[in-house]
Amino acid sequence: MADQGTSGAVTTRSAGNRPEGSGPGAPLQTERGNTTIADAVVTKVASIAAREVRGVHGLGGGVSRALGSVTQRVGMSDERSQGVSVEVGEREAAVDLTVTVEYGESVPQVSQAIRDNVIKRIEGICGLSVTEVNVAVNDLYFPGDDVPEPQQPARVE
Amino acid sequence: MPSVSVTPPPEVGGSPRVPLARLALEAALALPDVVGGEIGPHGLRVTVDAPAGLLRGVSVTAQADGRYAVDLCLTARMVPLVALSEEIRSKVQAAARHAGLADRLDTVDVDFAGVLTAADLLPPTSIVPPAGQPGQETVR
Repeated sequence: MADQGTSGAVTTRSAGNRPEGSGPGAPLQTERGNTTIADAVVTKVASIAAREVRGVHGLGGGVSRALGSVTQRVGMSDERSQGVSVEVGEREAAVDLTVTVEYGESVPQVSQAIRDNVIKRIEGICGLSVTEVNVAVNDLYFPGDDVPEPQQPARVE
Repeated sequence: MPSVSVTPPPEVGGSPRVPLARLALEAALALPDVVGGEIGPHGLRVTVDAPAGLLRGVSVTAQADGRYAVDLCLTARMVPLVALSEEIRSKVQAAARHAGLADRLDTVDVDFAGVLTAADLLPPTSIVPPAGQPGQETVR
């Protein structure tokens, strides 16, 4: 496994010994037919897996979140595709994630936990071998960010 | 008025393409982890079944050896998809055997176009506001 830091880090893994019928050891191409997994499926799995990690506040940069909130309202996108970019082949997948981490958490530990969980979920659900999970931390979240500023009392009635 | 049967009549001397498409889609959709059929990114996974209408999520193509390959495009629950695709293949092959079409069935390719979580499958919740507040808001 090679870890090159937090943003743009690359993790490689071998398939290991896995039970037949699950994980990347299970064949996607068989004599009885092929199984293909759409990009949208891998995107959704990666997004949910990243959000499962403690310390991850959200996915996507400020611009993509702002655009995403607009496109969601008109039904053009799913919140869970924000901040996730995938490349899916016949047997392998590579994932790029942009995340916001909660202030106070260890960014290297959170990004490693994201990587581990994303690999585990994609291999388990999709049967694809994950070659890369690149994590870009683009913001830190403070709990006070969501609290609206108190309204100033009106100076005139 | 007499009731109209929606069961398609059996094909006589025709191609097994449509019957295979019908039984393959029915076998796949009968599994609890398969949510629905999708026409696919290019709209190709559709078969016209004259009496029943369109079969969304399946196409069947003749092979050089006289058999027919089935392509399914499906949305599923978030479960291990490779194992699910093997289960789908087994069900399709069993259904083809039951229909006497096993020797006409070639490969069964399964394409998962989407996955749904439990939250995605929840019906929209209606929130009734407290008394005195007009209106009703529906949220997902």
